[in-house]
Amino acid sequence: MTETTATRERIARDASRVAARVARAGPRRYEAMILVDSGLASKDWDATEALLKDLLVRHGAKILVSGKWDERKLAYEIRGVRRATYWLAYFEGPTEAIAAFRHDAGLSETVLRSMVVAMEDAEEVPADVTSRRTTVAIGDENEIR
Amino acid sequence: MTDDRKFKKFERGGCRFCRARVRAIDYKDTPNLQKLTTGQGKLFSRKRSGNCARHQRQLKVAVKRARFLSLLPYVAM
Repeated sequence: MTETTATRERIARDASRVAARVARAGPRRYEAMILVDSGLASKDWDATEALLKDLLVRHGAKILVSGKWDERKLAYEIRGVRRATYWLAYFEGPTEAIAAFRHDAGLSETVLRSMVVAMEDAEEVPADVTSRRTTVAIGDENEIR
Repeated sequence: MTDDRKFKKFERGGCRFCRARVRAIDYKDTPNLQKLTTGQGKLFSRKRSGNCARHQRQLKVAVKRARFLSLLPYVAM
């Protein structure tokens, strides 16, 4: 199939739009949630948190906001652990840092589970890790038919 | 079209997230996610929950993320 002039123009237009968005929004921001055994975390939280931060920072990520999100009973056991401390961090960094972080987190004995989610460009980084995006009342179960 | 105008269209509709003008459903908001899952931990259908397509898709992703982080069970007893 031959590439028409219109197609080439459209591709160039899309590429410039993407470049403009990247220039406007800056580096991609991410949200990382890491689970740590509560027993381990309560022994020496400062050392545990330093280790978690290092997992991100060592690959060039810059942490914007981070902290303990919650400590709760897990919905199901992970590696024989029933209670975990959730550590949440908002950070920005290169794309390669995410794959490197996932690799390191998988090898770490401290990290029970971790997840990194890319944030939307328009989304604001919350000032506090305990704040939620969906804080409004959305009705109750009685609405379910 | 602004987001507000998008939601206005559904204001009187059945979607609870549109009524509350929720832009993105958070996987960390477990109390709200739990309201939309059965006792077994399965997601309610759109027909039962009344969600619009856009929010049902967001809800699906949020529940899957919450399950992965053990905030919600995959299968509840």
